[in-house]
Amino acid sequence: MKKILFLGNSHIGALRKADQLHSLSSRFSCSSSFIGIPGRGGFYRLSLDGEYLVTLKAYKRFMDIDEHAYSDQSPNLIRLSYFDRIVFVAGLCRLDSRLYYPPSSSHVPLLSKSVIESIVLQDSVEDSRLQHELPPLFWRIMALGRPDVVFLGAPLVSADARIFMDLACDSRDNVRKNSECIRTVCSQTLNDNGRPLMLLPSPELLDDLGLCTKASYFVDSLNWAGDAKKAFKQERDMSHANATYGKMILEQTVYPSLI
Amino acid sequence: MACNPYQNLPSSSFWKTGVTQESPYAIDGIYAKKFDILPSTKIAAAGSCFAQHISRHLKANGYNVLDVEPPPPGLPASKHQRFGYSMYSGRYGNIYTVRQLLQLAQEVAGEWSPQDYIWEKGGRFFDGLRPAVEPDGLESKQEVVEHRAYHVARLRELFQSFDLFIFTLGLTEMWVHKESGTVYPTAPGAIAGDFKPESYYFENASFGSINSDFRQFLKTMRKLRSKPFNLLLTVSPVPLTATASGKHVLVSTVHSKSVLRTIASVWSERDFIDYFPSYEIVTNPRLHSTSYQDNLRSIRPEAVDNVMSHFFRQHPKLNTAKQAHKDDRDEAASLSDVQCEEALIQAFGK
Repeated sequence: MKKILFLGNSHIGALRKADQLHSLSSRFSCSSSFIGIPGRGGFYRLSLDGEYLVTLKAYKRFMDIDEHAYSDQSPNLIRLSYFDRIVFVAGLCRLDSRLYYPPSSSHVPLLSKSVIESIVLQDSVEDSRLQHELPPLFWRIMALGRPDVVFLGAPLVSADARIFMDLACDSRDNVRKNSECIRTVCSQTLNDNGRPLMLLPSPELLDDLGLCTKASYFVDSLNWAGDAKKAFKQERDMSHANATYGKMILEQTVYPSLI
Repeated sequence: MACNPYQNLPSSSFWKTGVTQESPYAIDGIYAKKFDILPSTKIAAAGSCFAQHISRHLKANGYNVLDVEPPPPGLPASKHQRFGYSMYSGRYGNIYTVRQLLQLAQEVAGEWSPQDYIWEKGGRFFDGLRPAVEPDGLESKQEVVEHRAYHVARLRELFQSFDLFIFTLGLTEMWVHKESGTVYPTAPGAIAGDFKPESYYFENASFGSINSDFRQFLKTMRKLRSKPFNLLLTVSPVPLTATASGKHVLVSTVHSKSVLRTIASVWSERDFIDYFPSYEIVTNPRLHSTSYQDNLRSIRPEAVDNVMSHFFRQHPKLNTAKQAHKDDRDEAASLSDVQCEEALIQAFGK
């Protein structure tokens, strides 16, 4: 039975809930652990000590982990090599428009495959707006060599966010072509174990341009504890998906590619 | 005492006081601006590889240099230049000749279409009019066409919106497609494509033809635009990597630069066209060629700083100290690293 660790921020909530509600781990004959430390101040403070993930006592409530994964020496150290796979959920999904399109631009550029590859495979970014959106921890765990690491990232924003609503036809064509190319690049980018390194949500979860997640997946959105809207004091949550989204992602994308 | 016409001239009029005894790092009176460049002035920059220095320094010092094809936010800054981003006001790469500039403007205006511009190398396809912006090439000819269409559409917006166009004149020598007259920034075969003598010819543009191209360029711009604009010309001090003229490369370099320098002089007699003497500041004999790197061709970053310090004496830096510090660091990382397709010709030398 493969042991999988889902490592990320508040977006883990939807996946964990879906896994619990639908017993998905059992169906896919794996055992799943979850670490979902909310916010930039939390997840991005996690560090590595050799092959151990260093957590804090205060983070315990955001962790649902097989007890055998803890180090004998400290309850704050998690032995990463205990897991066969790690799925990164924090950071920008590689389809995220913020990686490709300048925010003030009304024209969406057509990007070459080489440019897209450089973005998909980047391990750092100089654009200050994105610096907190890319997890250096992912690349540091990758460098350990094992376990098998894949990157999923956070859901794309809700279609309610209405980004790029007034795109001209040529820009819409460019978005479609770029999205297709991003999917090709991601499917061709394999980790050392021959598995896709970058996982993407299936098109049926997304709006017609593939820039946003369908709004229905944000109804009753979830963070670790439950209601994401309350937790984030928002009237409408446009970034945290619900358990239905979590189920689709786990069933369609994550488990089939990892098991 | 008898009078003579030199009697009351300033020290800058005399070689001894203007050059021999003058600091080459603060040459008094070498440039007097013809018009102001305001924080709101929308600047477009283009030209030969030396123009990249000017564009970057202006951006770094708070000037409003337009960029209609900005890099994707997720692309690491270290890769911007590799893909032709952040070099100029669009992804057109280096524009070495006035003919190239004219053809680009005519293409944007819908008056002209390039021919034989899709070059192939190793199963990849390149835009021969800007072959260095996609160094790995694109997957199909159709993709080259689509990328060029997007590029030209963006340039239409650029050409209609700038207030000041800064152009660095670089070369007179060019390779031309026989059938269509399309000129390229580099010889076919240097980066991609295949050089066929029956398809291309070499032209070393004369003063007359460059002058005519420049006039035509201004006409085309006026058709494209509804408002007047200013122009700032410079001449690249970077010597030719190689010449196809059959003459010695030193003779050809002096010829090219002389012609271009004359073009700049003639056209900068107009009120709306200024000339900034970067060429003279770099090649000043007082510097004993120390502006150049060991290859006596590439310009040292210190020399670019010297050029720009003369520029900023007339057009003061606009940014805050904090921003300047950050940008200076960015600049330091990239200053000595400009993209020059022309330099690739060296690889074919003996």
